[in-house]
Amino acid sequence: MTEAVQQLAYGFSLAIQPANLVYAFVGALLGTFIGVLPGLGPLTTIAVLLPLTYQAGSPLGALIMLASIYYGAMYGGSTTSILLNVPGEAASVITCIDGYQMARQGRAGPALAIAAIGSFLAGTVAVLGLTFVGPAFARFALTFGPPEYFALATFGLALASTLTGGPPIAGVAMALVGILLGLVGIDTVTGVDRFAFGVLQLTNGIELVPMLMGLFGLGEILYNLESRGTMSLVTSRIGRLFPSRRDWQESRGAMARGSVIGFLIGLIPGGGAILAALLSYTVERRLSRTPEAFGHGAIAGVAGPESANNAGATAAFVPLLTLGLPGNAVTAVLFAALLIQNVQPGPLLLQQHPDIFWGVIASMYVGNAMLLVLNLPLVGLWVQLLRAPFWVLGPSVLVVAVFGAYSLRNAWFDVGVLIVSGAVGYLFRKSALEPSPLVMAFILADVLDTSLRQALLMGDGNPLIIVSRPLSGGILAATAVVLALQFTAFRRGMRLEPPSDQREAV
Amino acid sequence: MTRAPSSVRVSAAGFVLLALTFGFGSFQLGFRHEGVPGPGLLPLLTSVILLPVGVRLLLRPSLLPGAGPVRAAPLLALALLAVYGAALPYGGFVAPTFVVLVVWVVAFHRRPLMHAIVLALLLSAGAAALFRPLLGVPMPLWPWGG
Repeated sequence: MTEAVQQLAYGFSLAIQPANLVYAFVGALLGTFIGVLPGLGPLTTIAVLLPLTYQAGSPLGALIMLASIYYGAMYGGSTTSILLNVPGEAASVITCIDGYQMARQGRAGPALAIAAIGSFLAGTVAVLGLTFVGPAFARFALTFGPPEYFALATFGLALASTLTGGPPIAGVAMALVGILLGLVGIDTVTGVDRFAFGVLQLTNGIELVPMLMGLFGLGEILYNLESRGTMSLVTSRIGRLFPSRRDWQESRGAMARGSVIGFLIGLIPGGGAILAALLSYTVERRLSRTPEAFGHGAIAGVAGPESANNAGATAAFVPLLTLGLPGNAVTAVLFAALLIQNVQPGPLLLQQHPDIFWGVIASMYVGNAMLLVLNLPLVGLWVQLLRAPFWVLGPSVLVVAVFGAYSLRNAWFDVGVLIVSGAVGYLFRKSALEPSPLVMAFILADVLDTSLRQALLMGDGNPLIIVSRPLSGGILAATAVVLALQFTAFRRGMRLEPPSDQREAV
Repeated sequence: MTRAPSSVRVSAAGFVLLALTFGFGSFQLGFRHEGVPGPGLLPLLTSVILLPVGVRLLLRPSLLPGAGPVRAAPLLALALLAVYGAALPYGGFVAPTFVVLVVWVVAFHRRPLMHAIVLALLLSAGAAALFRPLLGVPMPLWPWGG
């Protein structure tokens, strides 16, 4: 405990260095700026802004900026959920239910303020948890062998692909496609070219960032060309910002419970923010004295899910930093960003790069506080930004994406990857296929491949080694149970999906 | 009975094609390599699962209830982007970006030409200024480099 506090103090000494404070500030501001734009969720925001972080002078600076962009984008997403009924990501669908109703009743201000305060409190609780749970996780992960890694990666993918809110078969298909695409390029074990088809630029694999910018950014722009800005702001004035005494009374328990639920769910690789938000919403409705108010503007229906969402997002850093396994699509992108900076996330990160581990954790405290200070006074500005017409927004994102794709390696090929991925992203959107499992699987493909082959080598080619070891066998059994439950639940109509009036918006 | 949108069939056909390509390709890569499990192993396992999933979606696109038909405007926009991507290596970033944005805003957003020109000018010049002098990315802004 004392050691964790000392290390955290060391992290703070890094996080409050002027350059890192600037990265956190710029990241939070840019993240909110882009995230508040309709239809652009945290993943799109990070994908579009990722090239800018390469200019940060250090891996720590880059990661601090990326994490701040992530938080900022999540807050921006809450704003669009509440005011436009357009969730920036799947988890924000839950916020839409009561947040949008509050806005329609002229209570947009308290809804936005509770979302910001709940996110701040939950983020802080989760960062505290991360401080003490993270090192324990890392120590535990040092005992993992290839079979455990293979099982854990499979478990994460199974959860991530079946908890997207759509049919499980769609998520599974996307995860499988992601694995295959992630295997393109030189095999790290044998040095053999895999599926590069003689294309020189593919020997290093498909470049992640232009693919992301295409799938999410460009795909979204193309999709929005169909509707041409039919979204309308529910209110031009947000009214009184700070919640009333009654709002506080109804929200504080929800925020506390949401923080704990979100943190626990976020620790599971693939646990997902949508599960955390949905669980929190269900708990609040069950505990409420007025459950009939849920769905009609109950403030606890905003406070709980928003807190759970944010705590889950922070907790997802635990498997990322300590196991080297991203828990969701956004942390998968952060994983790739770390690799680009020559930092390997995993159990050894704490020993080899304590500055990054503790610096990032400390910067999360700073980033959360910065977001609160930044966003409450600037709510009016973000509302104004929501009025920006799509004929300005779409081309702006398009230009940043094209220039950004080229800037990664100064390669025209990457612009091609961006455009092709944009076409695929649009097709997926029209096919109701959520690309997040694809992204996660794309990044985990190497972990899956390497750990599977190392496990088989350990077992002299016998695959039973994976199921016969207690931990890996248990995780694989849990994977099978999760998949079976999800497919069965979907068949019985118990799927996770937004209410009917939100589906068009997702 | 409503007609299933073609987008799901196209996506599913893509999955099937991908599974077949990677599945057959994995045999060429091999499953053992100098005594260790080979590079074709995971691609084969993945393709074997993806193939029936893709076929099922191809035969029953209604499994994806939220799907909709592909529209003309995004396809035309993609064609424009393809031309744009092909023109960039020859024209540099600024001129093709300006032209494409003007066409994009007028054709897809139905804005007046003057609005399109002003926006295209601001965005192409702004992006060039951000990436070249500010971020220091050595990108060719003009046909002659520069």
